[in-house]
Amino acid sequence: MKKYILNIILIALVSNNIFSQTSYFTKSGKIDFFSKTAVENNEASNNQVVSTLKTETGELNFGVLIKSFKFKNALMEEHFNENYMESTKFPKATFKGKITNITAINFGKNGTYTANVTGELMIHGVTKEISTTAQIEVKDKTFNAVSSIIVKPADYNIQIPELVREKIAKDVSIDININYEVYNK
Amino acid sequence: MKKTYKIALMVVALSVIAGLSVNYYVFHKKHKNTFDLKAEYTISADNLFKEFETNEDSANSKYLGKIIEVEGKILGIKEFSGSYQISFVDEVFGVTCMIDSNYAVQQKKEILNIKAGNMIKIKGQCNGYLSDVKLDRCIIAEEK
Repeated sequence: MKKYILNIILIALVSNNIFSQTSYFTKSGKIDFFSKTAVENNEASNNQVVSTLKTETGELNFGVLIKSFKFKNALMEEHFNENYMESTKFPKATFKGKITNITAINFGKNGTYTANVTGELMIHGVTKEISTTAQIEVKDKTFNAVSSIIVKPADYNIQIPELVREKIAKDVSIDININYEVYNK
Repeated sequence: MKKTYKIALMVVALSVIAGLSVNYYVFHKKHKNTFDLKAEYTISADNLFKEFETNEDSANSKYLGKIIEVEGKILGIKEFSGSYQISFVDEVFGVTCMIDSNYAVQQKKEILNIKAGNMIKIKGQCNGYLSDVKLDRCIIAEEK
């Protein structure tokens, strides 16, 4: 009987350990974007990004609310939401994908690793396959992930009026910076 | 002849002023101040989350982009470079309100006073729902 109870305790401990170490989460990740042209520079920042990573499978998800992108200038924010991103119709952007070389990253050992990421990026209701790399810095059981991608508004059916076409870049660069924490659930 | 010259000069001056004001409006338009805005809805954090969880589309059409007041018991407070994130209901599946740094400096006293477990009313802009319902440009409307 004693052994039986001990076994249950052990199993509970081990499984709890596995779960707590294989899922990472944040709800305050950071995504910035920059649109640079000869005429005008635009940038915006979003500090409310949700992301999860399962370190066993490499499964990686992002959720971003369009209205959480903050511009210095109120009018630009209005145009971004109402004219380009149509954030009432399409309130969020998502990424569902995978780190394909997950076994090359040791989340138990401090260091910097390069992750290969592929998956589906959905912006403005349009989904595209993308791949990129990310730098992962493991530090004391938590880690930071940094990546940068280029997005072409035209690929996601984002219409830029002729009048301002010169002011908005054809390639918008998007910087991702996430501090993950262990997700105990 | 002199008169036409004067008029022409005035037209030029006026158009320069108009141009400058448009330019100023476009490049320096300020964000609305949450302190001055009236909330369209007042709702408990529990009910707000439930509405989004049950039917995201209808909750979006009601709350998205709107100024609302959320009442509830503080679950946690986190600071990120001068901004304060207040969580309600659950860390992952709950309501998250950001008191952005520009508002935090105006409410230093109030922020020092609040702690987990306290009842509070927060006013801010509802941005939508991921795993949590998110608000930003928040201010503390009432401490209870």
